[in-house]
Amino acid sequence: MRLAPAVLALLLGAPLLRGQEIPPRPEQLKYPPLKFEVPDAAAIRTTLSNGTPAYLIEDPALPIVDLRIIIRGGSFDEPAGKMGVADLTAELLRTGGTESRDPNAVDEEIDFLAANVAVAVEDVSGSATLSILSKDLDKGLEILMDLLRNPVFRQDKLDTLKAQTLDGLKSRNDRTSSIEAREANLIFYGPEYPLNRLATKASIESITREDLKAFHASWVHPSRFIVAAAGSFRKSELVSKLEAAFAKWPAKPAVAGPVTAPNVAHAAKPGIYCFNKEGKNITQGRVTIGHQGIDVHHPDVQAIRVMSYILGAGGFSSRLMQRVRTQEGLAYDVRSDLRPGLVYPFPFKLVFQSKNESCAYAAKLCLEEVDRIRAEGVSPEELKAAQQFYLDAFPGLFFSTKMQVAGTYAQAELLGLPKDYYVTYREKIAKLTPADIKRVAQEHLHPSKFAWVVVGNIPAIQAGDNVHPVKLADLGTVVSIPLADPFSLERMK
Amino acid sequence: MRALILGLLLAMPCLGQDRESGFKLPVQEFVLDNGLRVLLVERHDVPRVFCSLWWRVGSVNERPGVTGLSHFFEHMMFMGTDVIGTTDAVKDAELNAKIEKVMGKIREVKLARLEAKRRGLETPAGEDELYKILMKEYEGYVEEQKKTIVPEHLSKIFQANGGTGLNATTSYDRTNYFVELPANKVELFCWLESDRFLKPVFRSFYPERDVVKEERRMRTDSTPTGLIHEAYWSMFWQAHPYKWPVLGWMSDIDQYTLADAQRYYDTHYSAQNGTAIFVGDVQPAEIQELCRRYFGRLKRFPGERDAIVTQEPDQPAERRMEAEAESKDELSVQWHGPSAVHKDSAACDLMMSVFSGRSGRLFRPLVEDKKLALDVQSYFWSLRYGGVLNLGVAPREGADVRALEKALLEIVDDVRKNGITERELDKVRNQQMADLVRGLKTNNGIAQQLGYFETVGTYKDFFAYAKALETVTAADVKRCAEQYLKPTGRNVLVVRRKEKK
Repeated sequence: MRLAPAVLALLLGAPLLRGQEIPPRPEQLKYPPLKFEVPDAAAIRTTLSNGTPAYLIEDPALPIVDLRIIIRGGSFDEPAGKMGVADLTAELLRTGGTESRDPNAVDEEIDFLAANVAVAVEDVSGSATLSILSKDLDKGLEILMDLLRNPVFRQDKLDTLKAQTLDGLKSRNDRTSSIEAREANLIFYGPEYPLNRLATKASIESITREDLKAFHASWVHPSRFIVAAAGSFRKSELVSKLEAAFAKWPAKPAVAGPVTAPNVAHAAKPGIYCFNKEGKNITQGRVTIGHQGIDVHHPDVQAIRVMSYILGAGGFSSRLMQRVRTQEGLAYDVRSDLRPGLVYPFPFKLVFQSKNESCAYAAKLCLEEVDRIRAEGVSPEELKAAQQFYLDAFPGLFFSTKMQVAGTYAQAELLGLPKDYYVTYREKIAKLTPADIKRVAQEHLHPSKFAWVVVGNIPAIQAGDNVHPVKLADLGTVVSIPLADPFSLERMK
Repeated sequence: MRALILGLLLAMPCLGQDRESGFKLPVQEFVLDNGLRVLLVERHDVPRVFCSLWWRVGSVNERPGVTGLSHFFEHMMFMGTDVIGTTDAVKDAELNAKIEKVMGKIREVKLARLEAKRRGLETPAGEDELYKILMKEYEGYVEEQKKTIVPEHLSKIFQANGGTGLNATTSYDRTNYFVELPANKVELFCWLESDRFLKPVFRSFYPERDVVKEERRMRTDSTPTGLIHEAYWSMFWQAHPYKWPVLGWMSDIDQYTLADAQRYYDTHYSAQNGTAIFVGDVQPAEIQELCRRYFGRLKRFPGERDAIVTQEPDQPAERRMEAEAESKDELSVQWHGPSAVHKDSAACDLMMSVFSGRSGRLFRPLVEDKKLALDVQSYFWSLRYGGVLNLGVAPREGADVRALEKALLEIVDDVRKNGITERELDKVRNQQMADLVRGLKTNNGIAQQLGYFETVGTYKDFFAYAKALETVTAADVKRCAEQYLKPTGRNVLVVRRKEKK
């Protein structure tokens, strides 16, 4: 064992860097300037010989490689009546075997190499990921590429997966949180939006290996890939390995431009939609209140981000947290969420959970805070604190590890973010004024359009108590909706 | 502060035979005069520092009647001091005293209610009236105090300086407080953390009890199996203070007093029970100076706290719990295992890994061959004073759960009788070692590893554990299976879906 040079310096009595004083207040602390250069996306990006973009960063700190292949396309592309095929395909790409590899042998090999291999799919994109010790990178890549290129979706593995999937469907109404998430999507996006085309028992049962093969054929191809990787490798070597692997696919020109999704045409009808969950242990209600919001390409995206931070997205510092939780003790979790949608708009939401009796009162306080930020805007001090958060936290939000840098830029390409999005991110925040915040609050928060999702013991939530001087019915039109059957998603009687 | 004690540069053992796989985690350590330990790891890639303070106190240090107090105390530590959280410390203290006085009276009413309940009687009407009057007085003070409270002041300062992930967590053995900051603002962490642990003010005490009750409803009460798993955990620990939930029993949350919190602080938040851990873009000389100046202020309280002496007795017979819930079916079998720094800890980790994963002992026989299950899991969760060896199975719809349990236990018996193969050992060793490496990818991950070991032993036990992983033999695993996975030591939970009538 030997001592690090820095430690030796300490042992010899390093000079103190600053004064011995402790200032009476933390605001009096002085900090040296912080320097952070936004990593150069162009320098990181490589175009592989087949046209696939790749963001590869050498990071020799640990003997490990993380590789993520983003695949354009996702569950929004499922054919009619085959809801669930995207998930089944992704999962069986990993576990269903290949033309030359028995699926059990694949499991054994991946586990023996201590690798993590996964294929997953979301709404408009998916991913194949590999995490492996750098000494085994070649082997890991070979397996991953075989899984993606030559899957056979073995019938017995599909049968097991379908049984697991149906078991999952059965649990759809077990948790109030699952009901809330599903019903909120229905209310904010409407039943026709692809986000709400969910798997049913009938759709899962109808899916065959042929459906999986067809989905795979239309989904997985290097022309639809964007690669991000970081770890202990030589960039030139990894480029060659990926090029060799991708060359095994028939050549196709790379798909360029951002992924897209249909427009959201639906507007929720205002009202308080209640979903009753029976059970004497359901002592807490879950409430989401909102309306349609924006996507990341909106010109006011930074102003809206900061406004939302001050109102309720800024964690403990936010107005909602201070009022509803810290001062009133009405909720553990309370927040607003006006995240810009990445591809299609995400709704603006107020979200909290409170004991049945105080749900209505907590909701009223949230609504008051919406009115207040619309009417009064924010103080210069509040704005400065929010701006300073984004300016100072910026490196940690997007670039905290080499893999996060690669992932941030790969995602930016997938979404078609402007080239200078991260370069100008901080200046756009820094130049905001209180007037900007008030303007976007008025333009983007519309109390008259609010639709509510309330899940829990609805009679108790409606009854309230004598302590909290408001009833649910005082706040809007209450509409009771039966829960959906977990298998068919038809409303139950 | 004592002279700089240990500067350690430790190398993780190489993975397998490949020299290139070795890596270093240089941890530097020093101890302040008051006993507070400081660890730091330099990583200069990004100008951020994960700053954390770990206290060797958790629900294991509680007693019935104040269960959950460790966690509640953690919430209290966000309420501030004379400087943070108020615009008028004098007035605030006056109101806090008034609140405490009226709450004392309210507590008497509550105890009278408990007494009436014990006798199966209604609360006397007069008591209810008195309660209302007292509550009105209390609420008046709370409203008054709001005028000088700066809510979430600590959080606001951290966040307005680029702090991310600000939070704290409480577990059985430890409580940790953490935030990631820009590299030029580590002094802010030292200022705020030493301030709040030096002279905390427990303001908003009673409203915060309601917040914690909401937290309990969210995490436990209003989930399909929260109360069942809580009861299973309490059945598993017969005697040990691990038996109550970290969040505390609902009835206890309602009864905490300021005096409870003060006593708790005076007993446990003594400097030698803490470790500050900094991981990221730090300069060791600067950290040393800051810690000495700021954390050197913390007190080392006279007197030692009570040792945890209760030993979980050897279980004389299998214990079972059969429950119904609006939830997936579930089968869990659980045994007591060794503590985190026990010499068998690495072997138990490897043993439980043998059961896990798609290529493990359980998946193919139970899920694919017998078609009794849909998924399997296994883990060894090691705590400071004991451990949990768990096998969990999701029964397939319509499957005979008894047959599933039997098949599961036959697999366990096979490992106890015949041990594991060298190939299996190599596989799970590779997995455990790789997972250790993966845990070190982020500043946060490194701090979590070091902090965990600081609260179950010392960070050096991390390196000892890694070394032990390399030397465990198949015979060790077989011996651990025989010793720990005994039939009489089984705890079994079966959850069946409650069918609607």
